[in-house]
Amino acid sequence: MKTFLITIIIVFSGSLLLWESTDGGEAFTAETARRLDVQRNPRIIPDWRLEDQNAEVFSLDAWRGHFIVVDFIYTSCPGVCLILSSGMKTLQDEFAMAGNDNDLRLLSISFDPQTDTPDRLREHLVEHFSADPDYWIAARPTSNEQLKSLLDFFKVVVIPDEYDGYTHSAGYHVIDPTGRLVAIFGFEQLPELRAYLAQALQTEEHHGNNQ
Amino acid sequence: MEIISKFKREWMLLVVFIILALAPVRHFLEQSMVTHMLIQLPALVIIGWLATNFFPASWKERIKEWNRWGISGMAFAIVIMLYWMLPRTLDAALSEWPIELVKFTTVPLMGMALGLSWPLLNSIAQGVLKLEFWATFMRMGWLYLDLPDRLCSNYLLGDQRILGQLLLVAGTIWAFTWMLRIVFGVNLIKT
Amino acid sequence: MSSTATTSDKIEYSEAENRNALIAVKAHLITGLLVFLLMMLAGFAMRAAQGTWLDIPVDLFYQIMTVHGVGVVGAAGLASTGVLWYFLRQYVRLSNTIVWTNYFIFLIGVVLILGSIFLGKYGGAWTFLYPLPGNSLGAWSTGSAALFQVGLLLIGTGFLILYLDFGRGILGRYGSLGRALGVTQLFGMEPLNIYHPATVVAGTMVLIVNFIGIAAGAVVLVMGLVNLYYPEFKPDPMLMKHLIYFFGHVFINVAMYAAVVAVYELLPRYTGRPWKTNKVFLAAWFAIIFLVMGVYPHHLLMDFPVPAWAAITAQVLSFGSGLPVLVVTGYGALMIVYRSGIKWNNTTKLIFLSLFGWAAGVIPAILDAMVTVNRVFHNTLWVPGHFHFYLLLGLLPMIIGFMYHLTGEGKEKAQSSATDNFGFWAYFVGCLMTSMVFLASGANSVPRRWAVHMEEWVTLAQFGAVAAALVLLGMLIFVFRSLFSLPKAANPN
Repeated sequence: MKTFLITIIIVFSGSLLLWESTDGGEAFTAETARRLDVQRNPRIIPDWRLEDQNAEVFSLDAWRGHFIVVDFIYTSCPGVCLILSSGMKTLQDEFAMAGNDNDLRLLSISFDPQTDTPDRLREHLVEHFSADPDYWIAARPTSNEQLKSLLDFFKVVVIPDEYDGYTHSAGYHVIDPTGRLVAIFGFEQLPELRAYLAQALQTEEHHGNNQ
Repeated sequence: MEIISKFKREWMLLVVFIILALAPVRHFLEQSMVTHMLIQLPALVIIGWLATNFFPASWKERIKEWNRWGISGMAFAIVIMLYWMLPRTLDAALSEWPIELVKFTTVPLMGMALGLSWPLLNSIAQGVLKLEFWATFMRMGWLYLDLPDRLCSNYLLGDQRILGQLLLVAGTIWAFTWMLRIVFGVNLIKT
Repeated sequence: MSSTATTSDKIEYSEAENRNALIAVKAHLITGLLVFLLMMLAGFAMRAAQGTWLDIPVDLFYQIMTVHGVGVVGAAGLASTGVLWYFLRQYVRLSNTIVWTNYFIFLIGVVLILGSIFLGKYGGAWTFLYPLPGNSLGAWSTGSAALFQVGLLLIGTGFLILYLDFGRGILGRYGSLGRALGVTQLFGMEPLNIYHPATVVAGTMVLIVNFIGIAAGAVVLVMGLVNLYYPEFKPDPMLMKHLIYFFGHVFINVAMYAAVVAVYELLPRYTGRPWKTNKVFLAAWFAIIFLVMGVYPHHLLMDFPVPAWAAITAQVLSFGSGLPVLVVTGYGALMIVYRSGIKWNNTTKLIFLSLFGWAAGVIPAILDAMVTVNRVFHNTLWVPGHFHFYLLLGLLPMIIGFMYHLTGEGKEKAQSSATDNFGFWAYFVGCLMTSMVFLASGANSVPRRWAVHMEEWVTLAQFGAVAAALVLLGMLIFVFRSLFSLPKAANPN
């Protein structure tokens, strides 16, 4: 009887524990967990002051009122950053330069500030991906503390790989006009992201017109 | 003499546990998914299991009242095992120290639960669980080998693949020794 | 002298245990036969639909096809296990609790599977061939495909529990499975014991092979489930297919090797001559362990990525596998019966029919296993012809014969009644015709798994439906027997 009782308790609380720690059976990996988390609890982003490709101070607050898509890269990346960046290019052509008031802004943040000098960032942005600096900015954190707080806020994990580069969480982070991080899409989810943005920008426009 | 040596072994276990918990050793083992999952975690389980040998008989009797046929202990062990099989908890153990602390307590506890319950378990239940554990080895090995993405944000894809291969190899060796013992009565490891 | 176990030293059970065990065996038989009857009805419905006599929506057809497949495999497993368990427990100590546990787990699994098919509309065939369950194009939900696989997993676990008990009992008496199989005698490490029970040999083979089959199933079913809920994980489809066919083919194949103990046990009783074990017999059973596990690829020979060496190996193994046990069993049975003055009643007639079915069933099987033939025949009705032949004429007669034996035929020395006689002949002719129509359709390139048949094939399907009706008629009589005579019958020993 005692055994029965305690087994029931263990099984019940165990199931509860597993249910809770997978967000209701939805997130088994840290990556899905962080995506689900921002979706359920959007977070206001702090006003970081970064250094952009022209070595000028860039404040995220300057883009308040726009949807912003943020990705994390390092310019010597041979793999997934290139996919992310070309995705950003697609977004630039489709949404940022569409010519209406509420158009999209793009921000690529380097997590390798030692190597990624403003020169390199500019080369990456303008020469490799023909970015228009009015809409798409590349920036680096100005201190290690700032880098850490950035990565912690977005829950981006960066680890060194066996080729002297990095393996890192690769995704598009969407910030809404009120400055909240509202969604994260994986690098393979570009079509979903485009559908999301198309709808979000349209509702935003309606909203603006009505006021 | 007997008592002293027993005492020593008890201390040995504690020393090994403390060594594993030391920051450099911990970081070294947690650097790669392979050592984390195939050395650190099993070592913690084994420490817990062996520790039950040194429990006083009176404790064991008291626990047994709550653990007839080893059922509640096994249920506990399975819950803990499932919990640490979630990729995100493994990630969390690396980035958040409270979770790391939880790991260093619950995993040895799981070992203790196994050590106390396995001998009490009905032999049929032992067989079913053994096959289930074996199948889990093979399933995870296959999964790690074939998944296009990383499960843990803190580990490289290559690491995950190597772990997958090692799990499949271990599962195959396990199946082979098991078969030798049952079909031909050959014991490779004296138990 | 523990090594020379003779037939006389049987396990002693209490009166109550024996009573309970008999009920368990009867429950296995009656459940199995009832499921078979329903599945034959489903089969008849499908043939009638193909023959344009019955109007069944296409999606329902595939649900019926799925339930027919899984139902027959399940019933074959359950009923043949009942036969094997009944005899095996006389030689090694087996637990009643365990056999009932398996029985009830089986029923729960059946409920899940029926729910997935008829409520969840799952119609992806019982082989749940990856990636079909996850790609239904809206015909069924992910949940119902998952439920189907969970049901199978549960049934597998039930059988696993039972086999572990077999293992415990056999190891308890013989020390190792090798000794129980007679391998030690075969290789001269122990003197030959002609009274080494054939049932123990067969039981050990069943245990080993099905244990491995279920282990493969446990892995592949869970990988399928992972894929259903985590589609980014795309396992290698060829590997999945091999594991699925290994699991499925082993399970259904072994049902026959489990039921064949009825031949070893019953023929000696009806002829008064003992079944003597010899080295050829032991060698055949030892070989079959490996052959049964190696033959499944004859269902994969048409896959063009299968390398030539693998296809050739499969063909060789398939050719080899049909024969060893069949030959020793058939020859042994003939030797026992020859001039023994055997009483021809329902039991012995059916047992003999089963030997015929098993022997003749080898022919379509071997043709199917030829690489060149298989390339052309595979997705035709030849394949259903092959396994319907084996199951209807080989496996089922063993089970039904055993059922008649349990109703107490042997004791009363009763002549079979006209009804039983009619049932036997209706069943025999019906089954032969069913299989032959399938084979003929296959030879004429009629594809399998088509809900709607082209006009040229309709006549064949109609013949098939008539044959199936005949099978149903015979089966109905057998099922009535099992429902009315079996429950109250005392143990014939």
